[in-house]
Amino acid sequence: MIEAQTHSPIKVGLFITCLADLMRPQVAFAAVALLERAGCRVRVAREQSCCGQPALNSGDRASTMNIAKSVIRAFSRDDFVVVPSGSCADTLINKYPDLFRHDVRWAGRAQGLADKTFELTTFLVDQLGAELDQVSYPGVCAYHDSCSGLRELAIQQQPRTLLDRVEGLSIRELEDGNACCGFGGLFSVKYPDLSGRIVSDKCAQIAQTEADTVLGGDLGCLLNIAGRLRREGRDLKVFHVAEVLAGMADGPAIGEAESEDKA
Amino acid sequence: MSVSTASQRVEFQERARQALQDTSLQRALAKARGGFVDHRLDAIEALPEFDAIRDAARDIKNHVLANLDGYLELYEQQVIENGGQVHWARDADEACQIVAGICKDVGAKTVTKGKSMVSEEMHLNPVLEAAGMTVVETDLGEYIVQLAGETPSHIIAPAVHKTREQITDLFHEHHSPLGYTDRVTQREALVNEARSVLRERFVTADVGITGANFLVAETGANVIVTNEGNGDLTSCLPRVHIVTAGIEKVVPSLDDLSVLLRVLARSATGQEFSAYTSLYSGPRRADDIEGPEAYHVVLLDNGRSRLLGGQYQPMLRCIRCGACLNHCPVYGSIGGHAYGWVYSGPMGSVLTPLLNGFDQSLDLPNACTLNGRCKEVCPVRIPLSDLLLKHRVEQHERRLSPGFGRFLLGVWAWLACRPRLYQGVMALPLRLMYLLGRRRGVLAWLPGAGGWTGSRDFPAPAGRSFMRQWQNRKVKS
Amino acid sequence: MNQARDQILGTIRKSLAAGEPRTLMRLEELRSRIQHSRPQVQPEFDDDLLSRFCQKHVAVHGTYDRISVEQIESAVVKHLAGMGLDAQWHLGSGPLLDATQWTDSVFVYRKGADKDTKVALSEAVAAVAETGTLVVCSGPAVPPSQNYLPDDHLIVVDRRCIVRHMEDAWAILRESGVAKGRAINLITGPSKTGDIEQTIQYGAHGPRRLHLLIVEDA
Repeated sequence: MIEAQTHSPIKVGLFITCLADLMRPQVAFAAVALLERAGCRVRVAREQSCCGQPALNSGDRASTMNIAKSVIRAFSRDDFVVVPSGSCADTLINKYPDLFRHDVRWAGRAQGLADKTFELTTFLVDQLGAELDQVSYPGVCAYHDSCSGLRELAIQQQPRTLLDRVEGLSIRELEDGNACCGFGGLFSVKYPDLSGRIVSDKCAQIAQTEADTVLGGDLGCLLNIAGRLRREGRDLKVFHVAEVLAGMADGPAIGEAESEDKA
Repeated sequence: MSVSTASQRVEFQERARQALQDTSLQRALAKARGGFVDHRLDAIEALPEFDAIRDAARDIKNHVLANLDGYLELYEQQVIENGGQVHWARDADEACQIVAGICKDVGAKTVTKGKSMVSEEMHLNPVLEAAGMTVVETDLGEYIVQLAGETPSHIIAPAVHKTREQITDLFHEHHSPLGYTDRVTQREALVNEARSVLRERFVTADVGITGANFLVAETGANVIVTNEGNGDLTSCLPRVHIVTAGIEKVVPSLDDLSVLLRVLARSATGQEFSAYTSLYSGPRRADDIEGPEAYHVVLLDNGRSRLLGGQYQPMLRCIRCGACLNHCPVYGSIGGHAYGWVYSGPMGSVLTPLLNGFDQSLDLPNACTLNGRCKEVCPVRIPLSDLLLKHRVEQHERRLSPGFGRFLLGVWAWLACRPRLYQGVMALPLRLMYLLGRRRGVLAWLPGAGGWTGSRDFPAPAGRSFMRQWQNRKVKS
Repeated sequence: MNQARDQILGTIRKSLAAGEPRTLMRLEELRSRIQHSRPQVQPEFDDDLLSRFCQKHVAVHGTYDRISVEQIESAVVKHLAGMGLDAQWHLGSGPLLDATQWTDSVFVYRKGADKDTKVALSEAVAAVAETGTLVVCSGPAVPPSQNYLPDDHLIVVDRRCIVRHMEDAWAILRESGVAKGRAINLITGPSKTGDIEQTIQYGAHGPRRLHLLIVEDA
């Protein structure tokens, strides 16, 4: 575990993730707030866009390597890189080193990035042992463990540990919580019928818990789940776990309209 | 290699669509889904050594594959010592000819079969039927799909896609001419009726054909694992016993076999051990009062030997337990037939392109969310989702994937490497989507992603990207 | 045929040579690995063999009586009478069965079972406590059809034949020279199927019931 020195705060680079950047900036703001409250100095590299998963999962190694190189360069100055997404963190931590396994020039740099990269909740719990500010969220929450985070990075307990300290919040587990939500990035675009079918199963399980809120650590899954819940006419709120932990879950949830006075 | 990609794509997608709309299939799949997962979990939670045994199972398989030529030769020697014969088949046709030849030589009229996925891979039944033989599948599930004129949709639960009502109809139709005129609907009565009909077949069959879960080099035995006992009745009663097996099925010793048996049933059905695990070797011995007079093993290659030494070699560790099917959300949504060949689910999506040709099954490696649960549950630790990704790489590098998609991806990737430009280009569509969606919070239709919004809304983005807002915030402070 | 064999083995060798470097184990080395094969990871358990075996046997829907050696016939007759069945059965072979003097009140068939066989009585070569499994080996007086055709299968088990793990059973088979016999049948509970709606139904093709007579004082 890292010991924060009073004189030299922990320098963290935030990997925003393309979905948070474009779709839900508040997730990144929440991540910044959480890291700052935990004593980190957060830097947001301007030269970042996406981790490259769409190319990687389409089998386009060359494009992925180009993107990976730009990510490796962009974060070369940071002591740590924190990612508010299990699947993007997995890409940086596990997939980049594998891509450059046979590239003598880049293998070391890719491993260097991998070694200092952490998913947000694991960084807060496992690395910092952070005691977050007391926040409250009055809600019964179903937690969706996203697949890459769960299976490649063993993220399961960390978000629950953090959520345990949120006042008024309780967690209900899904019957088959290890099941995929059907997002799968481009899978949901290439095979929308299949994806739609899988997410409707997921939503049925969520509904079974009688929770009023869905939380998770990966925006892709959450957009998918929120989109399906809205289509089914269910009024569950969907938030990224960081939004709740940072006390930023008082505005519109994912897929929810802005309130009249704001809009 | 021909590039017949477009029609193949449509075929899978069309079959998948039909499967999603097939209410009987959906009812059957829904009924099956939870059971396999829960039973497996209960079984492995009761065995603290499970992961260590999985490692050992993987290591045994790896060791065998690295020495496959040697172990096949040792196995062959043992079979011959036991009085059996070993036949080698390079492909499915050759294997069919060998089996058909043996059957014809003994004047076989009726052939019983214990479940054998390899014989499905060979498409053996039509060949024997064309030669005038009656072929009877004896695994209850496989018997049901045979009556329906179908093929198995699951490795270990061939009729998982059939409802009880459908089975009732099938039995009534096919058993009435045999004198079973009552229409039975209850599970127990259905099982009893099949037992009675098939018993007649077992005792009159001339040749019995089984698969092999394993081949033991130490003793020359083929191992067959069932719960029903049909594999044993097929092996013991007819005059001739033929075993069809892939060349990768050999294990060194009985002790190695134990390791694999400990993970097989648990992963397949959540049982500690199946009801019947039998080792058969050679024909009846000199002083035996029963048993087959001849024992043949047909070893099928069909593309397996080419996979050794390459990036897909781990796939040859597969012991056909079906755990990856049972834990796959795509399989759970469409069942096995949509995959288009004998093997389905994650293991099928890896294996089919390798054995059948890459261009024959372009969809399979892509129709996967890469959730990795298949890899997690595999008893011999085959990195299935990683292998599917390797397929995608190969498709991309051989330019087999659709051109327009590759073009879009290329443009996007080019932009993604130029973040400042990327941020500028994204600003306009982002703003548009925000304006269109802000009233409801979602978009019910999105240009270019029509499929996505067919079954769900698209949450509207915030009007401005984080990067823009962050820059402004920095300027203000 | 030999051409196919040579070609397949040739492709295997070629493919392996092109892959990751491997240690070339000559046939003799592989054979020696088999001959010196040892049990690997095994499930551990503390309970004594008999109670573990019985517990596992019951868990797979089996039943049993614990009897003394002179009770074999009467226990079989009693069990059958309890189900309304006559005192006749197909008889297998083994040290206990061979030593039993059958009285005139029972009728035994020393032949393979047929499609109408109701009852068979076998003797296990070994029983595995780990899984509740019976090991029955074929032989001149042990036709395997007796294990699969009857409605009721009764198996006599000498308590001393209960071993801890599967590998211990293999050791017994190797020592007694039957490891390479025509049929080694491992039986764990009665026949069953889950092929209709994934719900277990007993008595698929094989015995509907499996009853053990565990002989404690042989």
